[in-house]
Amino acid sequence: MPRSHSSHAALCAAPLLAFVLPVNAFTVSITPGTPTVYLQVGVGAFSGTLQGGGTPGVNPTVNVVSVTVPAAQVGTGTPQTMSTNSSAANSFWDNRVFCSPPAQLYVGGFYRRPGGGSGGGSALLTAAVPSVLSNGSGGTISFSQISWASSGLGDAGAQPFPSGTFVAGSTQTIGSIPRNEWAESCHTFSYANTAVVPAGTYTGTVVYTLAAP
Amino acid sequence: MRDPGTFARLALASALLSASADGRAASNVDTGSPGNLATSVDLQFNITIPRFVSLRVGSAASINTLSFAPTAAEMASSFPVLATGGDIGGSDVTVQVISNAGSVTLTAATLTADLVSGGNTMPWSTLAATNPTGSIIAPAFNTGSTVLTAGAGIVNQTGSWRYIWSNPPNTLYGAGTYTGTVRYTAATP
Repeated sequence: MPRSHSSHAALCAAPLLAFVLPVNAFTVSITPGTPTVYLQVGVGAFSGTLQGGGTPGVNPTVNVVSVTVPAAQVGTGTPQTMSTNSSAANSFWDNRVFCSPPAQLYVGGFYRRPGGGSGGGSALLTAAVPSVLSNGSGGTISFSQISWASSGLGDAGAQPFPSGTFVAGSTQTIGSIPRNEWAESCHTFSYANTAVVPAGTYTGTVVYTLAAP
Repeated sequence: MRDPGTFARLALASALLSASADGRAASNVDTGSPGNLATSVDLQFNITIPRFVSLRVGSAASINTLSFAPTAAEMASSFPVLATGGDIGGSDVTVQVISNAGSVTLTAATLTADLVSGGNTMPWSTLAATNPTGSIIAPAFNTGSTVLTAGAGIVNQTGSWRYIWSNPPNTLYGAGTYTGTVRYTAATP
């Protein structure tokens, strides 16, 4: 069954009552259990799906988001859409197609802890952003030149990890995952291209961290 | 209704646990006692910028024609004459040089030895250009060059050139329309 907006639901479990609340983007409740945070940015690792009882894993291969600016476009201010080498299209929650690589990068995960009901805070997703991307020859591009649009197939409205722009040289909040929930978004990155910069390949790495109280 | 996950019933391998602190990954997991759970992943960004140089003289989209049409009285006065047809207006054209490949050398090469009107000719030396705005000096036809020095590998300058026909005194040219084309070139090392 294709994922649809109406199927995006938050399940609130009480001892004798369960009911479904529609939400605007994909978040879903999961069973309480061993305290765990799982974070996936790009291609993840999972045995099966979480919905099917699978377990999260580590994928040591870091994904790359890149763009080659055409010579005639360098510094024109025309944003350049970036693409990713990630092939992650399906959600490890239920294996449904959620993102459209290579244009979109999957960002998702879950936060689990014992006990039902509310409380226990949320897991916060932050990004440690360097000041600049460097070409190795002294040239730099500010990370503030990179922004992203957030969406997901079948989603509408607010995303758990909404659209934004990197704040160069900072640790910024990307979103959060409430206790005992799975959340996911797809990010399409863009380079603002507002300045003429020396030739070269500029690289930089952002570290995403999902931390729970 | 979605089925809740059953991850709580499954044990995690010790290798998985030990890997949780490693940020060099695209997916990562941390598990254990409540409090201070954290896991990190990396995402690399690459932006490739090619070497380029761009030059604009006049309109961005077409070749401009500057026309000097002195009256008989102006011819007799020997005063310099301005043109029409510049993209800015009158005798003025936009000049823009952008490069990320180091300093830029501008040259101007005429495609004919002289301006030509049928069997008559007029030397290119009767034409010259000044730069009323900006600091890009117009190179002399066929003999000169202008070097724009890069800053941090970048040249990004805009200005204008104003063309003047010198209307040389004591020199008569046969009536007619004299035409010729100048080709400007911007080159990097």
